[in-house]
Amino acid sequence: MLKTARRLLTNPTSLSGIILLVAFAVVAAAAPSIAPPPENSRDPFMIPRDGFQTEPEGPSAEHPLGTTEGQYDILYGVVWGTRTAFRIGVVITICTSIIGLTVGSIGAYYGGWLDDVLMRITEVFQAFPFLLAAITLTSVLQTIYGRGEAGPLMFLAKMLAMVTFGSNPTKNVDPVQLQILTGMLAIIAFGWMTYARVIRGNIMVVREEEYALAARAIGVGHLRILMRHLLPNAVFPVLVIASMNTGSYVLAFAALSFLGLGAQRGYADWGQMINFARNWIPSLAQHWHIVTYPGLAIVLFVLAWNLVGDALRDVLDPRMRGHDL
Amino acid sequence: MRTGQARKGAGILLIVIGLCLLTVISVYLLKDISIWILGRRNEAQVVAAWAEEVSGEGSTPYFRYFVRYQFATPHGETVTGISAVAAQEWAGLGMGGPVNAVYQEQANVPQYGVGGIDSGHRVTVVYFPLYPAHNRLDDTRLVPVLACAYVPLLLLGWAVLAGGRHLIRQT
Repeated sequence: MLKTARRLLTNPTSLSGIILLVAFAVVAAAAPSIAPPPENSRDPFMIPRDGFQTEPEGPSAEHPLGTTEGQYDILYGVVWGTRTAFRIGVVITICTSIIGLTVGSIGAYYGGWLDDVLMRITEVFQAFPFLLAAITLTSVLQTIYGRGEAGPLMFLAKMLAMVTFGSNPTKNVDPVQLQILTGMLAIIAFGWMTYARVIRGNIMVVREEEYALAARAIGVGHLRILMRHLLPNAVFPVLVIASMNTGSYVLAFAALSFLGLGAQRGYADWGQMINFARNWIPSLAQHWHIVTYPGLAIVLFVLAWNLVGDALRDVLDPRMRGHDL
Repeated sequence: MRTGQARKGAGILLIVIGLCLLTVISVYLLKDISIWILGRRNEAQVVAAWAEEVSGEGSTPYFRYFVRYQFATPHGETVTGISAVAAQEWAGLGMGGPVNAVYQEQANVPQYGVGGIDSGHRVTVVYFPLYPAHNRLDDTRLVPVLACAYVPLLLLGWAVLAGGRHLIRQT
């Protein structure tokens, strides 16, 4: 473990990724100090506005990164958007990994018809183009949640809200958060398949190893073999994929927000902020700041996770050890 | 000995949680299945449609949309129901006027239009014939997504039960 950490820290690729991630983490943690929310603010994630003028304003002393259309402060949005990006990226990654690991490992361990059924389900989900499927499911979910009926979907939303926003599951979900959760649920629904396929392949290899056969021979339970012996030896590639996918999930959510399906208007989310630039594409030379800063934040955030994932793969892959990374 | 008792206690707790979860899910499932399988479709008339602001002071306004509808069963019973609808659906129902909370920034002041109330509009509803008060706006097109949502919850309930049983058996 220490060796892996040392390798990661001495590798220039991973080091740059880690530095970027740490910088984002610091910005997220210090958001209330860097961009303090207004006193009367109910939700610090709602970007404060300085008037209602349509045309964006350039950088000034009051708004160091300028304002978008509708006078939303860009610095505030970018800073608080970091928290949104971490929340969304990490929670989606955890949920998709858990689903993928469960489906893949059960299929691989028990094999037979169960494996066939689980893998066919996985293939059905894989057959859909990811972003298109996420867009469709988000709109369907927004229609369902708009009706406000309690049901299994509302239960899922409450669980996800508890994990993502720390909200109380016995209370109604905030409508602003609910809109974000619909996008997250859609990405989770169509984002777990890679994990399932990868872990299935790895478990099929390690389940034939001697330690696994020995454990089975002495009568160790299935769950224990799976959790204690097989998963720990098969999970490393999934960590690499998870790290690389975190950036992709944030990107996918930004795409949903850009299309008006993710975060609500005025919420501190990078994709939603770029959405403000849609009406100003012909005059972007003049209003360059409305797209540059949130865009840069997305690019660097995704790049950071990709660099860390790339380095993790190189460090954890035995065939790459000893090579210059 | 103490570990064994703790395991047994945890096992019983998990089984109780699992049973509660499965009971709640089953109740919802029964309510949904009664509509999905035995439900009868009918045309209802919108008697009122309105929007309510649910956001607090100082935050971006957020609206919820409601319709009150009325329909008659083949037995002559008149049933009234209220349903919330999503903003997109509000548009789809043809309520007329500005569909969503419209932002009129040109005036440099926020103004929010909530759409014209269009009483008399007809919507499709689905109801349980034995108990027409159990009705809702037709959700046939949403059934696949609604039904899929039960799968993870049923699996979760089953896993909690299995975990509890496993702990008890270990003692």
